[in-house]
Amino acid sequence: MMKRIVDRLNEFDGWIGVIIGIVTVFAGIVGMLQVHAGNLNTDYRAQTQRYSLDAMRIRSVGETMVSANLDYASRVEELLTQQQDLAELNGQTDAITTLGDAKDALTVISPAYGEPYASMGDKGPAAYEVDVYLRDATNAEQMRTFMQALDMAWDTKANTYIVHLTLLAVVLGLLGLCLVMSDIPRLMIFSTAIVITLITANWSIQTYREPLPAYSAPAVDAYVKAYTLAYQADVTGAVAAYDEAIAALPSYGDAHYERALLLYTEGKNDEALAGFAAARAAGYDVSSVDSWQSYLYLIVGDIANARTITVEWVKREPASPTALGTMIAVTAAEQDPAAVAAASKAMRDSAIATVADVRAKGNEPDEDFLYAIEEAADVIAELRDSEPIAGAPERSAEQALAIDAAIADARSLVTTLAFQLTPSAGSLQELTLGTKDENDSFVASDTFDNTSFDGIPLTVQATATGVTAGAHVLVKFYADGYEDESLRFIGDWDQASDGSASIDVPIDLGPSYVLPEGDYAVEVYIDGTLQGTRMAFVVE
Amino acid sequence: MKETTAKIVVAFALLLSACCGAYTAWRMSVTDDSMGDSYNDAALALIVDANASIRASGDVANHARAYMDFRVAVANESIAGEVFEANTDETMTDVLAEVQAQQGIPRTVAKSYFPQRFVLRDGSYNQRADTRANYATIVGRRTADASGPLADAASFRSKTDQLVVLLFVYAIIVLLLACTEIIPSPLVNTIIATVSSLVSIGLAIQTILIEQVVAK
Repeated sequence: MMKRIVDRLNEFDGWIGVIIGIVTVFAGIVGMLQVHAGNLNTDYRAQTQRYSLDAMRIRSVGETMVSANLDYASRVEELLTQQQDLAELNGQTDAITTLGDAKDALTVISPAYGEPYASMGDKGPAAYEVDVYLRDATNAEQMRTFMQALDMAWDTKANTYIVHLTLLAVVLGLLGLCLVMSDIPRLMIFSTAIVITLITANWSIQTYREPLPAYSAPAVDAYVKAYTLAYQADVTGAVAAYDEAIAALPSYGDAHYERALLLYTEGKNDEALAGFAAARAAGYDVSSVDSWQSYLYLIVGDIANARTITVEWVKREPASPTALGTMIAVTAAEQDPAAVAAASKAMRDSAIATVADVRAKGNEPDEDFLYAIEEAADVIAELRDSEPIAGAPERSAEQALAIDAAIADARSLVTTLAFQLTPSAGSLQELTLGTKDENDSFVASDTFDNTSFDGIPLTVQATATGVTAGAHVLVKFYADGYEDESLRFIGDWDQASDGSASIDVPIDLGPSYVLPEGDYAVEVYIDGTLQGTRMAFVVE
Repeated sequence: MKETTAKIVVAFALLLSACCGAYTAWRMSVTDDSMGDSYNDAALALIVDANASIRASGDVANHARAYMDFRVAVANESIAGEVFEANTDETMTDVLAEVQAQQGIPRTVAKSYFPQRFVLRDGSYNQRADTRANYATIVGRRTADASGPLADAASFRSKTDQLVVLLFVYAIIVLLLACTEIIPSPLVNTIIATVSSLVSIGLAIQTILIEQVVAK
């Protein structure tokens, strides 16, 4: 049998020539596909560059013009209003008119103060921003995303066709060799050439049939409309426009994600969860989806799903402070104090190692990195303080302590890493807020008014234990939940190591500065370690 | 027709199609390279445009701020003038004159930070004209319009696509010529070789024509 095949093959010189011709034609087809894919790849790459530059240019130019025509003009308006109020107090009627004219002139000087924005009330500034740059920048950014996906897809195809062409060149070489060989070697080489050709043919067909990322111009238009409506606080219109975008392109990940975010802000947590799931299925950035889904599952009390997502997330990104912070939040929602402590330690160890690694290379950690840890602490605190989910088991005292410790640990971690401090054994207990009266006596209070800090500092009274002289003292101020860094106090410990102590924190940002009405809180850190908890106070 | 003659004709046809194919492949390579160059030119133009737009907007924003400062300063100076004119107390005259003079300083300073030619009669500031003027100054003689190079690139892309089809036809010619190995008739082989030679020459001419056509 074998001999018969070999004999037949030895007689087939002419047919080998024909096969060479067929392979050449096949190579020609693959070559055409490669050139076509390469050209489209180059074209989409150029478009990606174009939209990237456009997005950067439009946003940069727009933000610059908004800063002049909106931000600066509003400061000018504010200044003129203050001057008008002063003139009114002094009874300078001419001055009031002159300053009023100057204010009116803003409507012709700054486009943001002119029509149609002037008659739009509170929505005017956002509408101006949308018209100046946000619409076009969003469009360019979306187009860049689509073009980049197409660029990568065609790049992969073009490169794969090159591999096919290389294989076909090998086949042609082998078939050429067949012509100068005979018997078993000819059979072996001929068989190899045919096998490679068949594999290449199958592979080429698969590559040709490989689907490309979907793109839809109407979907992008609808997305841009939705995004700009959301920016102008028209949530209903925005959700409807996102629906339009999704109807035009069901695999539109950005639209699913942004729509889900809007639904969350509307309190529609279940719909938001479904939206994030759709965004995940559409290939949206998986970490962002993990973050939102795990958070929302915790809010709605579905701890099991929150855990499943977070475990996968931590597996994928073991050094992500957001993922590790969410894991603490998950353990906090469960009833295992040891697990909370372990999760807290995992984040601490990972963050310290990451920052040490960054600093060993002569760099400083990204601010977002530290912010992610702080945000994790805020999320855990928010979930701790939120209304318990119906049917959830009551939190034990031990669990509550473990959660408080985890929050304090995360906040301390941010400070020790940012200021490069080594935590010390010294601590403060029984912290109390207040001010000092004319006799320099401490008066405890958590409610103040605009005049409370007029030349008088805020005082934190505490009992010190083992705080060494020169220890780093940091007091952070929070206004409505966000730190106001302009009020930060940094100093050295200059009081007795043990016993009663008071830290005077001046609130002085200028001669006429008064702390506006609102809800505030302070935190005291000694050598980077949070002392006690965040202490709230009110300015009425 | 002798078999030897037929083989010579086939060999000649193979040689001719190889030469013509090589020529088409060379021109396709050159066209492809030109397409890359055009895309690079377009990218450079886009960068020049983005750079000029950003710088121009920065300048215009500064001018707009200076003009707003100027208008505030004019109002304040006017108020100081009104106070000065309303004054009847001679002892205050010198002090108020000094105040009025000082109020004029910010106006003079702010005025020097925006080009006055863009202030319109209604008191508005023509930001659009200022932007265009700044943009033109920054761009200078460089090309900031990417549409030309992008159109060139599209034209070269179209040519490359056409040339690669010609290469495919050459591959079919090679296949046909290879088939002569299994066709016993010298006459048929000679006909195939002759047609192949003519088609190869035609494809070479077509290559030249494609290159000369200015794509829309």
